[in-house]
Amino acid sequence: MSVAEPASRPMQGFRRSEKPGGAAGVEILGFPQILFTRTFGDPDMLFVPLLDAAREAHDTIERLCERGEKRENAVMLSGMQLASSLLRDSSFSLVARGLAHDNSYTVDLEGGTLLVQTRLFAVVSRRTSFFKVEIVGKIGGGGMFVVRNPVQNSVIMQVEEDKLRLPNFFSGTLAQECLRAQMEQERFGRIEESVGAQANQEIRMIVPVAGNKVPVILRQKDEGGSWDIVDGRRQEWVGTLAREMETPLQAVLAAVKDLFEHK
Amino acid sequence: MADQSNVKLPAAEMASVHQSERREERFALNFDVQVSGIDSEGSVFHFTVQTRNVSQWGCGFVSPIELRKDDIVALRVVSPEEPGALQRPAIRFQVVRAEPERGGWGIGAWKMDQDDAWGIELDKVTQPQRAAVEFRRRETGAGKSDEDGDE
Repeated sequence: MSVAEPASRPMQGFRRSEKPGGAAGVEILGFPQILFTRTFGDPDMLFVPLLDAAREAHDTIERLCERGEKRENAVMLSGMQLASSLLRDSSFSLVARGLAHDNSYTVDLEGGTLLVQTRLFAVVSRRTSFFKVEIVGKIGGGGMFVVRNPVQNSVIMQVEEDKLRLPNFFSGTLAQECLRAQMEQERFGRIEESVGAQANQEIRMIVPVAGNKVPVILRQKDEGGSWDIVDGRRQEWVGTLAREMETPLQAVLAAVKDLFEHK
Repeated sequence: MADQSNVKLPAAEMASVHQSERREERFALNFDVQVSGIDSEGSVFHFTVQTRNVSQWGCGFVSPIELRKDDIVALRVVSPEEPGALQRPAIRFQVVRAEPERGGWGIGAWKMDQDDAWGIELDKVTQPQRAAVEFRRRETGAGKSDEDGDE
């Protein structure tokens, strides 16, 4: 009998890809040191086997608690088992805390979450865009993982675990999704730059359409004139607001105007 | 030239220091320790053994079950003379040497946590095993593998 190697040996999944995959630090919360890999840190290589190993450790906690082990002790023992299984792979070693890593994984066995902080890139027309992203979800399985932009504190997308298991999801699909989100952001930026240049009055809004958040502008070019409806994504005119809708719109504008004049 | 064995690194560095730098004094002290971990079947094991020797950051003992290099185990000093000893927190150790020997596996282990494992100042209880320090220093200087650990 030997200790600490889970029966299913999930970490053997590391070697499923031939390409080298960058450095990473894996933090198991409560564990005194960081597990570092120089070559298998890319999320396309490490995310799935680490999630599987963390899930096994998480299941172990529940099993030990059912057998009467104190939860605090079960979490510690399970974290030790997970760390040992990582160290079985020769690319992993222990390092002190406090260093920044290209890819960072945080396993919270007590809270049951896995957080990945990484940087993706997408190349379009020989221009490369970098995206710092966080992916967080439940270790327990069945739920969605949330992809966030930590700089803007915005959600880029929610994704099922099955998709995260697809080959090259992070470097391919997710990077492209980040690029799309950035382009939308840039379009918003261009809208910002055009404020007041050609409008007498303007109202901006986000309208949910078929699951997408579409930026829309209502713009009145001349005083007393009609209101244009503009698709903020492409700066395209898409219609004119019906006359009967102008009255409530004017009421909203008057209320805001009054607020600002008296504040 | 300063005696390297007397150079004290900060605790945070000692926890992850390269093993060739671990030239600590060892003391032939026999602590009763409870060793805990999870075996390959996913079951918790606990067994109690006596240390062969200890240092501030390491210890050696004979395990009745197979432990392998890089296994991580929790050690807790269990001393019948000290009523509160069982309340001591478990300290994580990394197995840095494991060799089969009569009666089990000879284990050298290195402390991972910064907490004090032994609860006493070792050099106030007994004299260090100076020969062992000199031996390890010579071994390391001769380019031996740095994975000898304690024991």
